[in-house]
Amino acid sequence: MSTPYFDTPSMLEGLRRWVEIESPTHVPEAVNRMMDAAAVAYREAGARLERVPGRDGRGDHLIARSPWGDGEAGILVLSHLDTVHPIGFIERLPFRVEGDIAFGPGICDMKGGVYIAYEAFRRFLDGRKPPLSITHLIVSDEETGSATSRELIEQEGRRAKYVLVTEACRDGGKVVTARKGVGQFEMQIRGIASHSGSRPQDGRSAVRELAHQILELESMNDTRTGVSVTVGVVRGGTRPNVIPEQAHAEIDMRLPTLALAEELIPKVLAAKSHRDGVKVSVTGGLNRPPYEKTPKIAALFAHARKLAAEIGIDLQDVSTGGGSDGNFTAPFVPTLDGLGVEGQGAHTDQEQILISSLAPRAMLLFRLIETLS
Amino acid sequence: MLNGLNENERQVKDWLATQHEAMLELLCELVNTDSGSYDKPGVDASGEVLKRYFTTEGLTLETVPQSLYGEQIRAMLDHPTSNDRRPIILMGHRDTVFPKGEPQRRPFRIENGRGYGPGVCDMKAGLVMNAFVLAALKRFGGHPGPVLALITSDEEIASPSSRPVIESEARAARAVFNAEPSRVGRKITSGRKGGVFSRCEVIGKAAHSGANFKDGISAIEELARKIPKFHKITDLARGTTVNVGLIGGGQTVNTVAPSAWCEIDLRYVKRKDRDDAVAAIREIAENCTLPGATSSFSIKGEFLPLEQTPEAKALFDLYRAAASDSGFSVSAEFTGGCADSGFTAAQGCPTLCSVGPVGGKAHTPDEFLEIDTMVPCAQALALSVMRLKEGVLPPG
Repeated sequence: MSTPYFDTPSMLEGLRRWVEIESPTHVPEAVNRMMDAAAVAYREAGARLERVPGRDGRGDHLIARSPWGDGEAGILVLSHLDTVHPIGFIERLPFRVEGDIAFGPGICDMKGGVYIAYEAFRRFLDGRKPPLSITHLIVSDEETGSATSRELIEQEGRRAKYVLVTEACRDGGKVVTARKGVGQFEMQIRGIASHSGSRPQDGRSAVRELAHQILELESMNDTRTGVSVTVGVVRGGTRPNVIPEQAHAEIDMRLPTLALAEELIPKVLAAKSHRDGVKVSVTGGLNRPPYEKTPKIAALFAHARKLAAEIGIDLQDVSTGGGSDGNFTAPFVPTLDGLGVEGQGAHTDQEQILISSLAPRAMLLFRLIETLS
Repeated sequence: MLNGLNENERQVKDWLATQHEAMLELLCELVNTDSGSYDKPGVDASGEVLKRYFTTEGLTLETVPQSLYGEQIRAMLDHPTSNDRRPIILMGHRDTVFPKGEPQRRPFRIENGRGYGPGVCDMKAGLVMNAFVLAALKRFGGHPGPVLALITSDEEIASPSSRPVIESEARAARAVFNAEPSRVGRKITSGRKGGVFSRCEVIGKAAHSGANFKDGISAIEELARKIPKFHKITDLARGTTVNVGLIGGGQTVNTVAPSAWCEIDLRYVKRKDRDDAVAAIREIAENCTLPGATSSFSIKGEFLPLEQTPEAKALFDLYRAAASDSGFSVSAEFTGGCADSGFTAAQGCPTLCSVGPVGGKAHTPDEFLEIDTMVPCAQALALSVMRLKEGVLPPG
């Protein structure tokens, strides 16, 4: 069968329609309008569709399956269609084209990647059957940690032989073969309030304890192992002249390997107060497990690199600290991430893609689906 | 000891005894007039309530206009024949710590002998007491020289606009009685700590905690390095304490914090301890140990200490006797809480603080006033003023 042709102007037009449907994670009805558009596209193309109703203030998840290979381990294409930009952001960042660059909210993260995966998938729905079944799972809540989709991602991941994630590729078109795991925690400290002028000796400062805790957390940073700890948000106290009874911190931890996660996360959770009368409690844990470059993942990358070379791309891979839904599947199934479009400025008012990356990246996805067995 | 009173003192004391209801009426109106420190129209409106009373009683009024905070009010009772022209000051503030609308939510009420409402003891009852003492002296005389009721507008935020007025009045005064509430058990204040209220701001650099962690500079980390150093300045033996009372910082959990801040409350006993402690705080606040972080320091407000002096002791003895003649006994204790009395004492003016009616739980919704202490406290204050003749206080 002949190689398909990916027409850039018509793909850009299709992507424009998707970008112009704003879909912030926090507005489920807006995300659902976006899912409707994707469902219509896939229904017309002939995919089998499932829709998993949203919950906990999140939109629906959409699953498009190939009509063949039911029940067999196949290829899971993993995407999300929620964006970080609020409703109305499109006024500030309208879809527009300047030379080879197209701007728009979510165009890079990751509507561009979802759109080219759809374009690649639909080429197999007209009789061009590949060795493996195809499942395209599109979730509604990746930008806030995938709380309502994690189970679904893991369930589909366990049934898959390979996972292809359509997050945007990294600087210069690199795909992602490793991501750090993400731990998130909340620390609450309770001391004893007292007036700082008249009864200072009666108080036990929660802020003072928090400072000690922050310094201990910071001391876990290790450039050698790649472990990083960020105390992102703090607050404490009620009035300057009151010994603070309460203090609070939000903590983000990045962990390159599961071994490090298993060593360090219990340490964070077991944080102890340094002073009588002050209580420290920590909740949270591993939000996304580490995505390590296993030999199978290296082999999957080597295969992709060979296919890329055939279409004129010198494909490189990279490890990153940012998490994605690929973290959920990488621990048990070979996962290749960063297969979306090339662009930059994700989450900002300069979010953009390289238009000339649409066709080759769609082709790379097509070739992966066509050849993986 | 009632027979220890002279005729003039008895007249004053007896008239005040008839004013219980009138005092409560004025207090009710004053509590229900909203006057948070930052609410200039409200603070000025509460001033109008008092001005009206003073005018009715025939006292001379002057105001010190202010653009940002409420005006200061001087109600003067002159004494044209006295050789000593230095006024005796009855001082009080009419601002409260409460947010706008608090009197609508919690209007003045009386339950089981206690009055409730925003500022009821801190210190609107004290202002009412001062007003009635001045009115009594206007009616019956007996004061040894000019008496001035000074009503300030912003004590709860460390008196930014009132401090110069207070200091200038204190330099020319014979003595100051400050109408902060006395505490349950009839305790007034023998001394107060000084306080310096400051803020430290730290600037770092934002970065995504995952993708480009190494580009970030955590303002929160720098703040955490500073906090234990601030606390180390505390020296309980000297009475110096540092409290980092409020902190905040950061943007989101997965962003390296670009900024963080804290508010620092310093208390000290002796004036000579102040500069060293402030210099130590400033040194920590302005210098960062985390490479790339920067920070700044600013003083937001300050109270001077009320130090114990022989003149203040003599003033207390005078007051204790007057209290005894008014039917109650008092003791004095030191407190770490700050007040305007520190400013007057620092000018060398003999100062007695917390002679107001008894109350407690100030700055909370449970703030209360023991209403039956209004008349006796007014009597004790009036007698103290009347007895403050030449030679009663040791030369300053």
